Amino acid sequence: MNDLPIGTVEFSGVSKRYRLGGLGTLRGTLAALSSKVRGNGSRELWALDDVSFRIEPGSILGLIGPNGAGKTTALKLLSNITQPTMGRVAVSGRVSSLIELGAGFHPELTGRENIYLNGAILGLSRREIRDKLDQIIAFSELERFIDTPVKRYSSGMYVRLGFAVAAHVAPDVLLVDEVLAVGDASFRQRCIEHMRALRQRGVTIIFVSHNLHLIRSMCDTAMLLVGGRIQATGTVDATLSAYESALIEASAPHARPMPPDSAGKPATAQLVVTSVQVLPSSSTDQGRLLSHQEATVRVCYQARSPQQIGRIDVRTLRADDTLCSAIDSLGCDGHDDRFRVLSGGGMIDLHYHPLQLTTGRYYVLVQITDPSDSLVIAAGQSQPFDVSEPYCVPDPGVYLPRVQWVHRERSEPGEQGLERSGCYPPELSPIEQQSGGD
Amino acid sequence: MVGHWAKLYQYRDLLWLWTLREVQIRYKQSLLGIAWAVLQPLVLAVVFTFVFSQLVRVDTGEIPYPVFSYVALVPWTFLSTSLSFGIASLVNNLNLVTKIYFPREILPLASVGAALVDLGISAIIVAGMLLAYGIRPSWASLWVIPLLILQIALTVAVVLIGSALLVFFRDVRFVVPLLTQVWMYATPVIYPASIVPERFRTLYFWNPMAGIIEGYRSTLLNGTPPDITHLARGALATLALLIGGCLFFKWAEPAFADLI
Repeated sequence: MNDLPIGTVEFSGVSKRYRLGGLGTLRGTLAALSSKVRGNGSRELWALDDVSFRIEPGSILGLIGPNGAGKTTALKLLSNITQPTMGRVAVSGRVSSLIELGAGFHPELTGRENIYLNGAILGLSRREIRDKLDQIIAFSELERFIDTPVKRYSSGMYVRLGFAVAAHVAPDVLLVDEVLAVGDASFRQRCIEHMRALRQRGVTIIFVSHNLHLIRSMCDTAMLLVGGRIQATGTVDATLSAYESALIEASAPHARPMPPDSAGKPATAQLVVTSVQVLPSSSTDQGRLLSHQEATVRVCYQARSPQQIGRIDVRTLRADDTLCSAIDSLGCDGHDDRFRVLSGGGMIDLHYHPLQLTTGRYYVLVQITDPSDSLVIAAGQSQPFDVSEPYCVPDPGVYLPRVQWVHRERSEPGEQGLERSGCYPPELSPIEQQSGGD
Repeated sequence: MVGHWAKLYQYRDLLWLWTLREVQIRYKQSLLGIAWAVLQPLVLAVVFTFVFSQLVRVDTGEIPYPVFSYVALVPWTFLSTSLSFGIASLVNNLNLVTKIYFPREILPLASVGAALVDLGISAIIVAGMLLAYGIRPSWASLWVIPLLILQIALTVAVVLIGSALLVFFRDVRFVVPLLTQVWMYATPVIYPASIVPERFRTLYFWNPMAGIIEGYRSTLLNGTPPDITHLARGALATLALLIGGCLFFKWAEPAFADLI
């Protein structure tokens, strides 16, 4: 098992079965046993199904997939929390995880006491912790509060302390599971810097996130898990596009605009997207959407109680389900408080200036995720809409760039060069701009 | 099995720190703090003294009843505290067990360790009490050390089995206090073993706690070594429980994170 180079991770034919319900009380076990006798074995779930892969030391793998795809199970197997039902998991070197920051923290104990405890849980010896104590405290920026019980800490301070300990474990294999969903923007930035520094040191990193931008910027390779199986693996770009098309496939059927009190899930949901509309911004053009003009996607929502959210994700798709654009509320201006809590009813406008879609029929999908950015808690879809554009080539593609043609003719020395240029789409005249009323 | 011991050794600092944590948090927000370690057996000793020397007379020979019962109640409290905290330890820390790897036996073992700290504090009171009643230590008192080791082994065995069982069956939570009560009455804590009828004696001393508690009494109060035949039977039972308990715990361990 340990003849692998340090930092190697290898799954060979790994399957993991969970039994649902059943055990927990004697009565439950008896019921489970009797159902087994009757041959009713349907209450089990294969979280991973014959998964094999190998990660070489020093590489960063992005693990992506919808909820329940088996990502967390894979991490649990890697960190030895649980054992495979079949197959073999081999990891060489020290594994550490940025999964549960501040695990084992006790609110009554001081920051310093908790550093020792948490460090020991992560596998450090007391001696190692003592040696690194000053660094850990400095890293956490909690010098003034280090002898205060952590029950007086804010949640941000709590996470910072947990991260400071976890960052000093010096692993050979690091597992990261959506920790970046907690904490503020600067914390997120430090996490990323930390991961980059570890990568420099040749640490193998396995990174689970729903934030595809981050996966793209951090990882060398990616693996897409769907339903416990590897659906795609290889370069980040190929895997991500496989994932995006899988996402669209999965979300399209049940993401229709839903009235708040219709039967089923929406009635119990805390947050509902009541409508998604695509509106032309200008009052001219009789409500038509034009490629070179501005447009607004208006998302109306209803929240039964103030609802913390992670991210609003707006995708534009052509009628044939080609993804044309994907915008999310994190990508815009860092971490914006406007999008942290939704309460009551309201609407969110997303302005496109200009729209830049070519002639064709499109629709917009909206998804709102929970604060951990791992669950879609509300979704909606617009009616199909048509975009038109007066100067259309036969096959315009999906995107209408704003271009400028420049033509420079080579001229004889001493003569004035002749320069011709033109814009497309044509610049709006001042009068049109006024009537646009932006 | 060797790998498990190596892991446990590697995580020995965690065992120490977690024990410390158990001690700290148990008394951190209580008004009387660590005094509870002494008060629990002391209050029981007062109650039992009143009941068994005033209401119902129990013959304790020349030993005054308060000393007679306190010497037994202190080690008994160690066992019952270990059981109540140790057996719940895995389930109470499920967020750790499901999220991070470390040898799971650390949690129940640390509970036993924390109870041992309480025992140490109460032992000082016991010593003071013995002196107050004019009972002088003798060489036989050194028997306390092997007796204590045997009791720790027994406690660890039961806590390992109980904590693992609780993960599978939450019913255990209700069974533990009940069994602890029954066990106390099956052990010469509040009465001397001499009143147990002769025909039950063999069976009676298969309960390791019977030999251990009698042992503490004879070595500390009478200055005579414990009855080796009684003790040997208990030690045998303890060994069987300890081996069985370790094997059972290690067998059950992979399922903890999945079941909790």
